[in-house]
Amino acid sequence: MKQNNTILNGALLTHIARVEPTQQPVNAQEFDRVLAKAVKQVDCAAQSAQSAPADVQKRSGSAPHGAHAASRKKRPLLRAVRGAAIGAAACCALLLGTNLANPVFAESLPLVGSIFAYFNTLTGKSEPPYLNDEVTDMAADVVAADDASDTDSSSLAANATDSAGHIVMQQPSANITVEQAVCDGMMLQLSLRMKVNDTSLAGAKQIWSLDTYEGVEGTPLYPQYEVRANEKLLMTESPTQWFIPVPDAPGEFMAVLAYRVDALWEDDAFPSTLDVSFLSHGFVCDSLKLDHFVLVEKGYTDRTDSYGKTETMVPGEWQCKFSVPSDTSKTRMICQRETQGEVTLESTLIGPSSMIITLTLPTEWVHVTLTTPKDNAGNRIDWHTGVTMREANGRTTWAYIGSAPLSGAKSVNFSVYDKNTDETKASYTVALQ
Amino acid sequence: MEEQKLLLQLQQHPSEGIRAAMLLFAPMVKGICVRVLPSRQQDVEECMADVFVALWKNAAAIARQQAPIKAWLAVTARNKAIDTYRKGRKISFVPLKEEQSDGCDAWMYGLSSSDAEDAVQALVAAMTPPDRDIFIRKYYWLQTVREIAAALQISEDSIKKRLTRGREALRKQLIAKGVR
Repeated sequence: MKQNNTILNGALLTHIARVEPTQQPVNAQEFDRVLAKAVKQVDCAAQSAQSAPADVQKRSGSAPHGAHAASRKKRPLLRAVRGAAIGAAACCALLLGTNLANPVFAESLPLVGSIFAYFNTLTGKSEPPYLNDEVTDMAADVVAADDASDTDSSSLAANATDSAGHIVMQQPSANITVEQAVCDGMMLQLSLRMKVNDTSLAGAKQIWSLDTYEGVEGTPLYPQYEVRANEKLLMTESPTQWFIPVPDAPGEFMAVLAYRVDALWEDDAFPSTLDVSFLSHGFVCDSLKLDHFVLVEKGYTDRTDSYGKTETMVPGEWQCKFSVPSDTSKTRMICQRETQGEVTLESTLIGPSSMIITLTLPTEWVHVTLTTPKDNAGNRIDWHTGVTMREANGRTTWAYIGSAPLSGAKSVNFSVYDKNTDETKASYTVALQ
Repeated sequence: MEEQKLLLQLQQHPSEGIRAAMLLFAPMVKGICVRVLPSRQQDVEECMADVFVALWKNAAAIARQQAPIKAWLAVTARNKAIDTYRKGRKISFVPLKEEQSDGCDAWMYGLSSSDAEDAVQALVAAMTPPDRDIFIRKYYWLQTVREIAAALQISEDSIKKRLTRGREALRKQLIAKGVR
């Protein structure tokens, strides 16, 4: 690794400087400690430069460098086990924190048969997975079809039904029940309950599924988790790709999963029923082992060699098929196509679960984005993500996905602007009523 | 403070110059060091100190080159943090982080020859947006795929695909240049 960066590529430095940096706050004590260490090195270098014979300075090339090396401390190996959280589960930690901070509140939540209501209470009105009172009210029980187990698939054949008629996907490691579903033409959301059979996993804080899973000993990558509606693979849009514990029910976990289904619209019509297939090839559990992995001495770049081998898997193949009726009565596609300069507003889709604004921009505008939209009363509408829909002829069509506006909102305002220059490229007002 | 003034202050009054530089850039330098040395507070602080001492040592050269201090510090912090990591290796416990999970990244971080690193720098600089921004965010600012996706308003899948294709393209170009 290069030690002296004075000969770095100038063009690259210019590009690096244009990117917004990653920052971590430095508190006053930390600032003082770092400054003291740095100044101590500088002072040592200065003293060394004054005391060192001229020939030594000449050989070392620069006095400060020689002194700097001498002032280095030998650092002990770090061997302590630390309780760092899994990065991918940061949001879940927030959810758990809410729960743990107020156990009385948590106990009062309606749990039985209403996982949607539970998550709605936890996440509030503007956070994914796009739950609010309307969505919660629309959620309906998922009931197994009579012929659901009439199949050659062993995992499908292993399914059963509970007393309420819900599908129970049975595997030796855990059973997963699909309890409720809701589809407003923008999102398909499912509530699931997992009951683990391995008692050692009962105390896990979360169980989640990865996008892909690389099998041990060279087995290929394969999708670990698939949800299809009408044969179309759905894009996951929920950060809660994990199960969190059901309070006071050891070994039980629950999740709400959200998937975008806006791509199923054709000619301003949405299918009245979605034939959904659910398939998972296994889950990962955050037992205590999972907070860390042992790095065998191979160096920074080889750390991934150890990856995945210490994870606690919840193995199995959970698969089921069911139908979900859609209710698009509260979802509107507003086709207010409007071009301003090089920006074209293609459409705005608004429903109980979310709002999706589709825009086409020049592909080279990588620093151009949207301001936070506000309704006519000035209420903010939070963005959650943006995705590329298509690219052609130097133009890119983007979909910006955010929370649904508050009921009663008459319009939504937003601007398209360059983050680097603050230049406004276009401003839109979308009438909702 | 204008960068040239800061560089001059570093040369004339090192302690004051380092304090001034830290006031401007310490959160940024820490943000990078923490990515490589998660949960290693002591090492992060030593690494940060080393970075600002390096800035003092190279102030004159940076001034001559008119290199942006922010970018110079970013690359220096990244390199020093990785060096610190390597010194403290053998058996260690490292938190699971998304940015460490892509085994294909190894060759980007592990370039041992100066020629190879120079070649990569030139090739990354010559990339077109948004790939160049994605590479810079991933390998110089050490941002996660999720952070990059949010910043550039591109889906995470798209970011992963662009990184994979970009690495492959860089690898081919390096081989074509005779760099290993």
